[in-house]
Amino acid sequence: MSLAIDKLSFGYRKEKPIIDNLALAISSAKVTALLGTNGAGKTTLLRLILGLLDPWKGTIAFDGVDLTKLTVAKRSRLAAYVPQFSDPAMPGSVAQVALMSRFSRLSLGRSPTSQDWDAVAEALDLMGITDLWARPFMDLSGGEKRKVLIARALAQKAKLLVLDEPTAFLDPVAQVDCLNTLRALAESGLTLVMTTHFPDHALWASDMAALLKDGSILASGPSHQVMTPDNLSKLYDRPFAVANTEKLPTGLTYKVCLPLWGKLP
Amino acid sequence: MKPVNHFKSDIIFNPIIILFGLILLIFFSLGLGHQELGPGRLVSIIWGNFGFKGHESEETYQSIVFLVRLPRILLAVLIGAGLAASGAAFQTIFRNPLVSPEILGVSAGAGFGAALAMLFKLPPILVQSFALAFGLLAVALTLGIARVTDRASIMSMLLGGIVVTALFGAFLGVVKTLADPWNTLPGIVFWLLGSLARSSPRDVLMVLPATVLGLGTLFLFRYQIETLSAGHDEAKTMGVEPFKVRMVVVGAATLITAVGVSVCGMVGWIGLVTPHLARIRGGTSFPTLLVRSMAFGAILTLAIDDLIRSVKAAELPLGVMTALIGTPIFLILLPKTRGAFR
Repeated sequence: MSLAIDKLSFGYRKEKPIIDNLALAISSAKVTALLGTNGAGKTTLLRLILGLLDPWKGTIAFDGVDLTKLTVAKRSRLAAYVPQFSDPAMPGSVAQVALMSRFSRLSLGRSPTSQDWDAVAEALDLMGITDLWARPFMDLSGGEKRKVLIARALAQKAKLLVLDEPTAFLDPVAQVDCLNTLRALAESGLTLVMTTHFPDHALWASDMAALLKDGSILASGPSHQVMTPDNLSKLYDRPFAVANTEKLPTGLTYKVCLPLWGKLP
Repeated sequence: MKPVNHFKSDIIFNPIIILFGLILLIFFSLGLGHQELGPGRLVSIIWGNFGFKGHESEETYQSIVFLVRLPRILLAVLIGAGLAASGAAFQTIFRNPLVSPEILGVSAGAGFGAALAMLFKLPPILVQSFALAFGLLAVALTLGIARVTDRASIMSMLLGGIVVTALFGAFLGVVKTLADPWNTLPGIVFWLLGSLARSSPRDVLMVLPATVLGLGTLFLFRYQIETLSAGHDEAKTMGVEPFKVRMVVVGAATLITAVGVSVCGMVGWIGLVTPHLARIRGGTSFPTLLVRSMAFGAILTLAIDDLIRSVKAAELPLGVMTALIGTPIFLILLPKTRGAFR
């Protein structure tokens, strides 16, 4: 179940493409991090994958099926979206919010079946938030809400999960928790694409990284090969360092990425 | 896992109690009026109507109860349920607690249509037809404006509605200026204030099919409408086509409101306030909100109309009473339901 993007072009105005003849292959059952500056086209690319925008040209094939040619309902069986925030107009309980992703499966006039509720229960269980089942969605913390949104996407039973900055606005522990969850989901067979502004996260949690600059791919491949000082410097137009931490109490060392500031020799 | 009700079960939200309350209120309302009828008398009249042997010389009362009071009561129930359900659906798809069924211009259009027909001294059936036609025309115009400006986004629809409402308000002003101030103008003004006083069985036959069709459509699409409450992008990635569902809701709600307004004039507030009443215990899914709003809308409208009928000195217009009673209810409820909207 790999995602193959080819010759993809799109822009909001005719003369100005945001995504310019982009090609990218995303491996199945892996986490792929999409990096780039603000305005590089990350969100536009996600929206194209999700069918929220229609490309000028090009294909987005998931497991051989061109997502751009599918109906809204059929596409939702293959690709699910985890937004940064969700702001339902008048939400009820966590379970009711997570159940929303099942409604496109209902034939007109029918109520959700036990199968739909089971999918929600399973997804909340997978995210470790079964105890939030009956809580009003509005009462949750930002981290809890994001877990509910991931659970909602899981209940949709799509093989491709598209996440818009899943770690943004979370505290450091919640960020690491979130990344671990994403890793576990990839290991269970799902294909995950996430945007991020934390180069470290691409090294810690994602198998693959794709660097997006000016609407096309600067570099892509296994994270540890792509996330080099040279590539990051080109990506962000600023000198970057990638350093190893000392041995941490876990017995491991980690790589961290830092933009350099101040006077350079 | 079972699809349990996730919030504390609540006596005011118990469907059996709500239904029983509505039936009781209808029964009570049948007895209300210049000729007050006690429960025993009422039972005997209803009994007699179904061919059972009752008191003689009750035919007059039978026609009062079945040809005068029952149509009025049924209209209050239908219009109340319809407006409240339309309001709930609009508040959900437009993701805005301040939206009411009139937002797309249906009432302004209907008001102008009715006034125009009265200006030309057309018979009541044509006043209703004009109201209906111009109500639908106004919404069509709103949708046209929305489509031209921004591919029918929520904001362009609401803005289009405001523009069209203002436009038909101006047209209405012209008609009022031209109308004969002694004979025609009072009729126009009174019509605009809304009333159920001249309800006839024919009105019920006009409102019933449209309301049932509209409510049935909203009910069939209740889960798709719920998905739309998450917003355009999320609904679309969850497999629901937002534009399609929005148009279905606009069609159903416009049908309900246009027919209701064409028969009984402008009745505001019910569509705005009732969904808030149905949410006083916090947010809920749209399917639950829809059913609760319908029930509360019917009860609220009928109760207000009963109040109008029990004031013997003068019959106040329904639109005036719904505003007089609706405003304080809204002010009390809004802080309580605010938690459901953020």
